[in-house]
Amino acid sequence: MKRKQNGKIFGIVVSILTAMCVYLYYETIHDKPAPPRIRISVIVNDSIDNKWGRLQAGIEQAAKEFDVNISYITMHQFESFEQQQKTIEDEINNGVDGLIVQFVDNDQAGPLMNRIANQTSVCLIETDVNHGPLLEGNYGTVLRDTKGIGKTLAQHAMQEVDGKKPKKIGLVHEPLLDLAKEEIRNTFVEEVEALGGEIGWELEDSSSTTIDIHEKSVPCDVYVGLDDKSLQDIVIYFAMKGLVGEQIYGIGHSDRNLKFMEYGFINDMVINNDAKGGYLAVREIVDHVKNPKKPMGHDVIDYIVVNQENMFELRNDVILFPKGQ
Amino acid sequence: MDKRAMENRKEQRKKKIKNLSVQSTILFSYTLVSLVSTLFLGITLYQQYARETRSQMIANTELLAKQTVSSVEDYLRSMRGISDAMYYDIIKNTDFSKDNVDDELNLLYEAHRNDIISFALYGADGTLVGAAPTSIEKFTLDIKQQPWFYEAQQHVENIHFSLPHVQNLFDDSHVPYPWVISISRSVELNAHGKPKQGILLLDMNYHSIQEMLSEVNETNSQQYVYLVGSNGELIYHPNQLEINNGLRMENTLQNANLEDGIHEDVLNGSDRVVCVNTVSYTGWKLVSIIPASSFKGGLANSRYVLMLMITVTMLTVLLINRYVAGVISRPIIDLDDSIKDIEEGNKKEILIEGSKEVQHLAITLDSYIKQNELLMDEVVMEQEEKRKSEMDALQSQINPHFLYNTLDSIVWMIEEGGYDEAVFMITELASLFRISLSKGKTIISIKREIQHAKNYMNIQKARYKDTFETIFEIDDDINNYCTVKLVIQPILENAIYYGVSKEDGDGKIIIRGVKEGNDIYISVIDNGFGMDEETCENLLDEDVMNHHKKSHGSGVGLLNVHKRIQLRFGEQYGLKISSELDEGTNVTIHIPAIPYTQANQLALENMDFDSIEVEGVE
Repeated sequence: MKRKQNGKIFGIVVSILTAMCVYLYYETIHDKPAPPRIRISVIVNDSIDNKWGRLQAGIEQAAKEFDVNISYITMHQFESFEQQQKTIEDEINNGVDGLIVQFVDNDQAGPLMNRIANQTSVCLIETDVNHGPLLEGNYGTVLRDTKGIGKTLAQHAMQEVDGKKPKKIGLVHEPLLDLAKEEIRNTFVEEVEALGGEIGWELEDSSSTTIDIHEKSVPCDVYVGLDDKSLQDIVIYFAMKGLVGEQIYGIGHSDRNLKFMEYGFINDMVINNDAKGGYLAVREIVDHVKNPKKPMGHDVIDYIVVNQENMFELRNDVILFPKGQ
Repeated sequence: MDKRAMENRKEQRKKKIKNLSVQSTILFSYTLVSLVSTLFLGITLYQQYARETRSQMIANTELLAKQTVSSVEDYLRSMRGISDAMYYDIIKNTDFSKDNVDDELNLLYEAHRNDIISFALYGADGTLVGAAPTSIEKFTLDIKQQPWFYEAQQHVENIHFSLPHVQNLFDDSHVPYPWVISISRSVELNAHGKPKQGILLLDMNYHSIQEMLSEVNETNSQQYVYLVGSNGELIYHPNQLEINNGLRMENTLQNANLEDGIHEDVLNGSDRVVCVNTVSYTGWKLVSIIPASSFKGGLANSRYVLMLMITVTMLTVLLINRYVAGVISRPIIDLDDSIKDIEEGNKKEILIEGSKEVQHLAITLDSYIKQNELLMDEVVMEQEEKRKSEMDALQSQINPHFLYNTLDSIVWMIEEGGYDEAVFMITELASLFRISLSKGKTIISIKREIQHAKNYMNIQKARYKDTFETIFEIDDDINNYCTVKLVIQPILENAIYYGVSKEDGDGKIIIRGVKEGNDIYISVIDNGFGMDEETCENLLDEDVMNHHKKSHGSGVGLLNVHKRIQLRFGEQYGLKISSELDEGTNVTIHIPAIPYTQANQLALENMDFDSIEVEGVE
């Protein structure tokens, strides 16, 4: 009886060891297939625009770091939200693991977000959307510090020049189609007013003719462009008029505006750390793909204020001209 | 309570281990020893292999770092060579009062345009003397404030390598803000044969260095290299963007201050091996990092191989051990089974097989068992013989002739009116039989045995009408010693029949009992016819007497007495007979002096000689 039991135990031990041998042999000779690379598509309006250069530098760096395949869906301007929506849906149908999206229409993006956030990892850049009852953590955002930018820009615009405090501000910006732009504008105006200034005129059309009409009716002390194009147009307007020494401030990113600033046409310019934004957007998606239960985060990227004096300082250069660009 | 329970458990465990079968013990012990040895060997090998791998990885990294440094140095040397060529072949041979060097600079630039962003030659006051590619100089810049300019102006004998920076000298629509490393030196500019100081600037493309080092980092391993300035400024790092934005840490300053060689550092709690190499001309340091985790990662497959090796060894050892244990223990198990069969009475012989030792054990055991069986047979035989002897003795007591003659004598006495004599006879006869039976006892006191002899002699004397004389000379000292019952009567019977019965009143039988040392001697001496020596000797020879019994039937009683005494007390005791023809016969009973107590009587009855007490005799 006892001998039979001993034989049984021996048989079990031999079986376990044999199974272990087979498993270990399999593990030894079979290379584990590398996990498929994460695929992320970047869908932004006018993706070939120079303004995305820094963002791409950050995205590329993160792609290298996390071994991710990045596809830039090259489009000029989306003709409509529907076109962008189709592009997004096509990418999801193609099985991308994540999307980095800048919506062209903030209002229409909400319902779409509600739908796609459960299908893939989505990270919004530049601006959030009016998404309605979207579950928190189902998507991520990497946004600008809109309030900080608006406030800082106002403080720079309202600083004394030659002992004279500016009073009236001419404000130019593109149509405020997204929440971020709207928030920057509102914060800016609030801060200007808080500092004792006032908005002399505010334009959504930055053409020289329009600026000229308003400038003639209400001359201002300071001119502010809340986006790259508006800032350029202000500089061009005064250059064409042959006026130099105007107080011009704004938010920009293009090499052209940097040149304007380098040559002294722009006093101070706010530039977002877009490279960091691109890196964080990819990181958010990779984290979520690897750990879908973990809610996606909401990051706010920093910004710098550069001028003719400090633009070639190393601490600013690494943000203005990322080495990987 | 708990302690006791624990001890109990411990005891039970010990018992379990002790109760393991031979095969299990061999298998368990061999396997345990093999397991411990294999594990020890495996772990030692693994550690040795891990150390070797680590050393090899460090050596490889060191080699790669040296090669990389060599490549960077070659590259910088070539840049320096271009600068030398420009200075010694072009600038030195040019009279700047009438010529310029733009064409030569452009030619050199075109030859190295992938590696060089621009050439520029400045006067000591910062005025541009020549440049390539031809570009518009930025008017916003104060050249004399540029670090590369004043460094070259201050240290005229050196060639200066700047840290990477964004070039801000020229307006170039193709590459508006290129990252460059500036190589500057002080040069002599000749105008009208008079030398003036100038500064030659070569802006080399930072991407060339970046690509060179990126290639080194393009491996799947966790190792990487980075380049730092002598004060810890980051020149190149594969994760520069993360570091600049505070998303990653690096010990740049600490590692920039390390001597060339292998060091160890800790970053964010992770151990790393750091290999530092200095780049000539610049004081830059190439830092190679090997995270400790990469050592472990490289050993993952080796771990599987090692585990496989240990498992296969274990399996093989287990199977071999099982076989060996089986071979060794099988004969022992068979022997055990064989013994069990013998115990259960199923078998009579032990199985003899297996190794020499086991066979020897089986043979010895078999021999012991056979001896034991023999002894048992002997004991049984002795017991049977004893019983037979005693039966014979009893039978001799109720000899029909004796009884008939005695009763006839009694009848005769009654008829003659000798009632008193008849009563005496009957009384003696009753006493005789009472002692003969003695409640089934075999051992009685000498006193009762003597009494029995007296009863017998009184009856015989009456029968033989006092034709012989009986004298009892028994020491009182021996009365309370043990004797086998009915040993004197057969001797007396012989003495009467073969000694004195035919004498006419002169017959004499003396019964003498003495104690000598630890022995007691009871002699029956008659003055009858005696025997010749041969007859005397044959009386106690069993073979002769058995033959004699069949033919004549005389003298058998003596042999019976002799055997009974020997059976009870041992071979050294028994009868001793001496006789001489016409002189008489002396038959002496020799027995040990054992006090007659209840315990001794019982011990002798049961042949339990160890329990006999010889002290306390009155």
